[in-house]
Amino acid sequence: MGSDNQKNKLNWEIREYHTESFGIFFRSGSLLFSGNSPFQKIEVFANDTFGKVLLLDGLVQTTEKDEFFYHEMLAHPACATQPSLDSVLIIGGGDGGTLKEVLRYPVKRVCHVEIDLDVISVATKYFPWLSEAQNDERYELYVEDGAEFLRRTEEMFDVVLVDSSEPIGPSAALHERPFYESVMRCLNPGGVIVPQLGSPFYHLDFINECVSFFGELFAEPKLYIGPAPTYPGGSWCYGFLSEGTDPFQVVRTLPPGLKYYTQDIHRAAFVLPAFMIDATVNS
Amino acid sequence: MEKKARYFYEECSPNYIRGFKIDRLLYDGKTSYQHVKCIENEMFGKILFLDEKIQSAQIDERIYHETLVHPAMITHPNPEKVLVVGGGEGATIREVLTHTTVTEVTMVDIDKDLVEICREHLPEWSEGAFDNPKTKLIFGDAREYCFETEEKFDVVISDLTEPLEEGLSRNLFTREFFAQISEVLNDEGIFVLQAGSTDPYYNEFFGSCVKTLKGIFSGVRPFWAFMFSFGFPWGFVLGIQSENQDHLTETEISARWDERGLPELAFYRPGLHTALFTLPVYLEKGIERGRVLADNKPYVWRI
Repeated sequence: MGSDNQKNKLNWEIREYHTESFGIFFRSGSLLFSGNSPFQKIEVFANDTFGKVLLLDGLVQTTEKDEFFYHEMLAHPACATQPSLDSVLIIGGGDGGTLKEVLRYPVKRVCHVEIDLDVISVATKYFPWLSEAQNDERYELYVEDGAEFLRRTEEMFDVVLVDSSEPIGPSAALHERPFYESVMRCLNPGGVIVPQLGSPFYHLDFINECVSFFGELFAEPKLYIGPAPTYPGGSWCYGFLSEGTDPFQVVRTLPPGLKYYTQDIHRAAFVLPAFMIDATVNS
Repeated sequence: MEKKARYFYEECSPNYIRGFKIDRLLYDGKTSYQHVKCIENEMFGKILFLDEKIQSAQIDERIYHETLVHPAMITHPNPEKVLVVGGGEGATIREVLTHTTVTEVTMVDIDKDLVEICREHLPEWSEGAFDNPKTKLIFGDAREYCFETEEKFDVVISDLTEPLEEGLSRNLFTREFFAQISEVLNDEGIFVLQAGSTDPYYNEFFGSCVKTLKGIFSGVRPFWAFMFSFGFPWGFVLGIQSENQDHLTETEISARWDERGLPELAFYRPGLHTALFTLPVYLEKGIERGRVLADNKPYVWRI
């Protein structure tokens, strides 16, 4: 791991090339942290537009100002449609944003499985919501590989959120069929799995591949989308995988303080544009 | 990462910049009114920048133009005469002309050179719409045109650049101009405009457009769509002249769609209509915070 503030200088610039053809650049006041964990490069910098920004292997994971789009849309559609919401499993999501959303509900316990303890340590220092969540007695952290956890656990969950990073690097296995099969084994009847599935713009082929094996595992897999300004393409796709939970029926009272997610947004998120219709069976 | 390739850098804010690789430079020059740059990029296809701001990219210009045009056109029961202000690329009139009810579309753009550049370098946008016998192309000031014309329209579509400090559009986003648009609309008329970004940090322009229109049109309906090439979700607003035009159901929209023989599109479809009009909390709040824009107090786009 590296140390704080060593490379602190004005007008420092971070460049994220989504492909060679296109990149987004943040002109920054300061680099707050840079270091390597056993799994990936971790950086945190401050930007006047987006606040604190966390990068893993050079890709934006979380920004203070727009994290709510992604984290609310990953967590709430599953939680709000679940009549019984006792136990939730989060795989990945070391920045704690998804955890913060889940803890807004009266859940009994949240198991958080993250492979990279360094991400948790860095995020605890720079993103205040994570340290708050860590003090919540309903919270349990497991520092291990998500697939490994699922193989050994005998616990059952009502909601499983797959907050993985890109389908390359430490998260690669979390995007494949055997992983989903092992998640299903830990899912209570009527439970919901929500994975993030990437950008409808950049990753439509990947989304199509997932949809085809989702269709073999679940009777009616659904996709939904939401904005994500600092992710490639500016909008993001999620899966809604369940046997028995109606994806269109919000049954829980929503917690206060949400910035994006509402019942209307929930309904609208499942309505896909024409170019994505081929990818899915949403109705 | 060392990059030797040439990039065009668009400043979205002083500390958030987007870099587009220039695989081929199609045009770079100044018209009498603005700086025009057309590039080709492997990912986005052809891209048009006006005064350094992205206007449209081949990969998703259909999302923008379909969203601008079809909700307005389909909300009108029988749109025959249509006015487009701006819309230099010709894609807006392309979409308008897919409605078989249309007998005439008048496009008023101030910049003849821009239209010529677009016809030459971006023919995929207009797809021959400029040569359609229903198209009436006028090069002139949209504001003057609206104050002087004696014609009446069923639908008016504002497809303008953001009101930059020294730019062309400053007095085209004010209550005085919107009121004049209402004058040139028939009783059942519909106005629609592109109203800038609807991201959480900079939606003041969008909110102000909505608020300004509320003083003029009896029905004002904001909507939005995500734009890959803009990097942000984008806002649009419908202004409706007569109060008794309720929101259409999907069945009603589909029926109109079929009556007009409309084709399958890239983005918009009748089932998507209602979802586009579903706004998040922060935009509802942005509208509350918006201010009424006037000729003596117009909006000036930051950056």
